[in-house]
Amino acid sequence: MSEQDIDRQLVERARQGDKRAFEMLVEKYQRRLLRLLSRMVKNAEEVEDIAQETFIKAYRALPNFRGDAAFYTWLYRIGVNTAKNYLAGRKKTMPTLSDQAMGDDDEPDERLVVQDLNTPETALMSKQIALAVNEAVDALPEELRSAITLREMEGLSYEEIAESMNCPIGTVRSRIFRAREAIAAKLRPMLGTSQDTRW
Amino acid sequence: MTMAQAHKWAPPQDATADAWLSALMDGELDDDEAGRAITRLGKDAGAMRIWSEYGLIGDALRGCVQDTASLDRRVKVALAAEPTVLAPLAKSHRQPVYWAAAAAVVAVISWTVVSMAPNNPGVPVAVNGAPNAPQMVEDERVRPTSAQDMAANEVAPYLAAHQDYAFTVAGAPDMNITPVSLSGDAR
Amino acid sequence: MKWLFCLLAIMATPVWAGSAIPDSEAVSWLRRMSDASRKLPYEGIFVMQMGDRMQTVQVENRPNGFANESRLVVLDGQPREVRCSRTESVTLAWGAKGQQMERRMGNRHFPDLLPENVAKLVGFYSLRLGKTIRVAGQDCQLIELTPKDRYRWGYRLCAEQYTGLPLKAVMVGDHDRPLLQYAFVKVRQGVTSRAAVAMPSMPSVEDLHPVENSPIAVRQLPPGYSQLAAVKRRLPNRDVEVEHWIFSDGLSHISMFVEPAPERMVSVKGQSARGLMNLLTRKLGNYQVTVVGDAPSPAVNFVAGNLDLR
Repeated sequence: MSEQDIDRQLVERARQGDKRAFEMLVEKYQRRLLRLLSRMVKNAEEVEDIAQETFIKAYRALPNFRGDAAFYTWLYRIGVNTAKNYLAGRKKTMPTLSDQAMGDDDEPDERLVVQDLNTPETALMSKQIALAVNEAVDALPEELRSAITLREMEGLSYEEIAESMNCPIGTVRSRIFRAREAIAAKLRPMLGTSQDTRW
Repeated sequence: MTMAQAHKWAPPQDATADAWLSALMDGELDDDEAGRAITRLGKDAGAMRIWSEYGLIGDALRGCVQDTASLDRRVKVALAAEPTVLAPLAKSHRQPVYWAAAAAVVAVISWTVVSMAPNNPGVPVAVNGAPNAPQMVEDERVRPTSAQDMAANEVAPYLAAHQDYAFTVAGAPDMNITPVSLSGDAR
Repeated sequence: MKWLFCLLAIMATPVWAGSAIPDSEAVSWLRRMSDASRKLPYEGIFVMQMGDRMQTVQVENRPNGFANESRLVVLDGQPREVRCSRTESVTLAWGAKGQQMERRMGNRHFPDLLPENVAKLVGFYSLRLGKTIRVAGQDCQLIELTPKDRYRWGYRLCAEQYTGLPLKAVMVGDHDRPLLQYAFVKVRQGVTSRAAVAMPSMPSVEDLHPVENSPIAVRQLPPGYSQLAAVKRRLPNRDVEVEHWIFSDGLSHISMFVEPAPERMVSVKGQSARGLMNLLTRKLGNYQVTVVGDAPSPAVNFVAGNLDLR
């Protein structure tokens, strides 16, 4: 099993009419999609429109998702095409990044941090959340920190992490879970304060 | 991180049973377990919240934090309005939506039976074109009621298929079905 | 209520003889109307009337590059929506059995009733300009298309005076009797809501493919008619696969279905209450041919009578 498999599972469920399963995919990828689209379209409101449309198009196109590509790659292509069509349909041209940003490479550049989408309030909040998460990770014991970092930032599977850390897979699973719980515990007070925003 | 802080940190109580959600996120459950986990997640609002927290943590580590409240709400609303996905078309005998319109049009059609026998001294049906075109005449010997019964069933699919192309906005589906007599008087 | 009276008054517009116009001017009017219906963004509500039945439909049209996308929402009866793109249309319905989606073969609707090739129409309809009338609060030019022969119905179109968008269309039969009418009740041109018309993605239809090696050949079609399509398909609610041919003169449509004849085949002719639709079935060799169209019976009979067995 790998990340691709969980997505495939969720897709299968969504195909059988389980909209919650699709919502889980939305939850999982919405931030990444927003960031991707905001590299192409500068107006935050429009980015959200396009993101919504992308998800709905993806939902409707589920029968055509063959599962031979990663779900996010497929979603990403739908997003890029939707944004392109949107831009082509507009009367005035909006400033966009050069064409190299528009989806010739399969893997989106994950390293850019985009500030544009946020209002000043939420931009500050974003920064605070990002800071809190990183601080929480730094505060973890080394074996938990390694496990979560290898998983989330390097994308290794449990098996690969087990090999890298020279421990059983069960231990990897436990360490990652405990790391997440510890970070979430520090994050929850922050997330709980504003009812209107969800991160 | 100071040494003091490092000692203060204590692992949470052993809750490996709850680690299923974390493992699910990483795709590390086998198919059956994952299926059950997804079902459970779909019914448990608390677990869904944790799912989104874990997702946020991962994205934050990768430098991707966004306010998604509005998008989330909009997608949920839009998704709720979507027809549930989609079995492939029509190997079944499911009635298409435009069927109702065709059925309604059938109801107000008057039918006459036409025979193709050139020897039959009936009423000629005008057919233009080449001189070899067959003579079509209305056969007055056929009883009207049987023609009407037969026609209604047989003809509706053709009307429906024609309207499939010709009328994108189909006629009113809740037309009243009224039997019509067969002779030309019904018009 | 006032709205309703206005609506009924509009529906009862009398025939206007108008003045005949030279062909070139006629074509340019038709072209304006045809272009406007496709290239102009608009949104509004129109009413369709066929016989005693009326149906209210909300429509929005969104030009999209070379094509346009549109969405129709049926406002009476069972909730239904039709989404049209350049290549197809999909109907979504919500009923007692839940949600249903199906693809249709056609994708055009009022006010996009004129073909792209309008020049051809002039050969078979004569055009007259009528007076200016108001439809949906806007001034329109009345244009009459009168058939030059008995193989087609006539049309009266009201085109908005600046853009040419048809705001009203009446299909007229014998003695100028209205057979089918469409009229906007309200319409805004040049704007649509922001949301694009998202076409649902459906699995490709396996049971629709082009006709090859048909046992039937069409010797002649009525003047002005040409073949638009010929597909093999399953009939709704029936298990039989048939050939479905579609002929049109740009405004009227005639379908022909070809399939193996049943053991006891009885030929049938039929006509809808006001004569809008005509139907005829006949046997040709071992085949049953069914011809049905929104065209006068001479046209249907012509098609049925000019077929050969290959």
